[in-house]
Amino acid sequence: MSRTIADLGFARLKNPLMPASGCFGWGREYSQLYDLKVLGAVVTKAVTPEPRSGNPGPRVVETPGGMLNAIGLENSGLQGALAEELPWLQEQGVPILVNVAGRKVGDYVQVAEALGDQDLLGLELNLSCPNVREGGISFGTDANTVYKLVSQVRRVSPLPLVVKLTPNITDITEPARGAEAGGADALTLINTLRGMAIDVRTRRPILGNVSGGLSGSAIKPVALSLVWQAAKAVSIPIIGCGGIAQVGDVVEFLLAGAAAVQVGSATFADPLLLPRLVKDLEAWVEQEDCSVKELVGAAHC
Amino acid sequence: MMETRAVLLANEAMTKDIYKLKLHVPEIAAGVQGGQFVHLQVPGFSLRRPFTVADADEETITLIIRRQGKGTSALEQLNPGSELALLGPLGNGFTPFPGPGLLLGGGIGTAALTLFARRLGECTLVMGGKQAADLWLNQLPLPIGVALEFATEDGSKGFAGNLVQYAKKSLKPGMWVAACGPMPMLTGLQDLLLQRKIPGQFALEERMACGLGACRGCTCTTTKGNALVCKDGPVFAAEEVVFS
Repeated sequence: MSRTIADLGFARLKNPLMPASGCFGWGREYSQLYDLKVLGAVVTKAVTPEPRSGNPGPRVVETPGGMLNAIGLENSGLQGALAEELPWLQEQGVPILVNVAGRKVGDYVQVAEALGDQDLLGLELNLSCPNVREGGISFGTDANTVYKLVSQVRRVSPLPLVVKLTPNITDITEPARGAEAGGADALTLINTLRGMAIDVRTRRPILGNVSGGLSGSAIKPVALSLVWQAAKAVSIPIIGCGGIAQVGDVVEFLLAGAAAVQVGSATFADPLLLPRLVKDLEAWVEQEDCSVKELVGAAHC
Repeated sequence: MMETRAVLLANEAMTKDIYKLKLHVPEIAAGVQGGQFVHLQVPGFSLRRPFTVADADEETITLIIRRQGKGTSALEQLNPGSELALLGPLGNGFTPFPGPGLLLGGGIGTAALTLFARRLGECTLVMGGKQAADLWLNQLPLPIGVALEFATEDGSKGFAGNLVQYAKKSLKPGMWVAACGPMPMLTGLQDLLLQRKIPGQFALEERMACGLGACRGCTCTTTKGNALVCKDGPVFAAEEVVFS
């Protein structure tokens, strides 16, 4: 349906809806429930050069209006991704953004180089994971570091680069501009907010990692505001993410300046949410006699 | 496995903090194995809750739930006629071994064994608890071939002692074990089973987000490395589980 086409500059998607990295694995599990082809794209679990076993449990806990997670980037590494996960997903006929994470700049470069000749929509560089001690978030909080990392990956990869930034920062426009200057093709905003929960019975933090990343409806106004600010600061497209659970949320993010959106933890409350949002958005733009493209940034004037 | 909606038929108290939900959901009831679970929506909460299927007939499933936090308190308030979304049946259930089976349930963990006991038809099912008032197994109709026994730490009903002590007394060569319960019980049982070279299976519990294996929120440690309680379990070979 042409009204729902999302324009990311480097690619056009049939609709702006995709799962957020980490909430969807590589899509295998959800493909048992619906055809992944209905989605605009699939964003994979993070890939690091070597396999990671992740954080000790508990790794997830519900909080008011959302949840905390501290998975710790558990994944089977670059070889696992290339041998087992990616070939399967590439057969599903849906555009793929592979999320890439690491402890040092070289890790991102290594994964990006190894994936350079793959048929992908692009790479999403995770400069924002709050749950690993080194790397991740520590790259995303300094504009100069973001610039250097993105430009080094840019040098080795012909693929479109989407940079996923952290909200755990004073001024989002600085790393956003750093990513743009480094050669990013788009930004994803936002990753989770750092938070924690304590069990009053045991008097200990609930998460094995002590703190985790907060997601869900609770963070939607924060995410929306950061998308708004970044949209004013950069001219590359933004993929909005944070607390999206219904079609009205999708439209809000588009109006704030997002060209596409990712849906994360709301998928856990309703595993069929993404295909339903695709249908609801089609109905919404039809009823409003408008298109996704017209909505992008329309609240800025 | 499918995403569907169930209608609540009955919601009954079993003990002071345990209640039973009977749900009409033929498409899940028909295929569920003992030890498998459903991921149940709790209206108004951001995450679903995983519950083992304690019993099933052709059209209904029964969940036996301990009131533990806000979600399980909210579920307890639901009236018959309520509709709930759920995903299931999920995970891998128990597998019968040859010879006499001893099924050991510590408290609410017993709910993971009752459907398996029904399907076996003949076995011994033991429920353990602190005191007689905590035991609810008599309230669940099971086939006559399932011998019900009890163990209480204060000796107020059945065997006086915990289930590891019970197993030490009762396990004979040629038997096998299926168990679910608190960690100290499972670690004690694991030692005993290894010592006596008796095969066993444990059903584990963990906080979950997706229930499907996508989010990697419910990882446990096994001798083969990380495993997902939702997808690789919740039933694991007893000797495989690495307790932290």
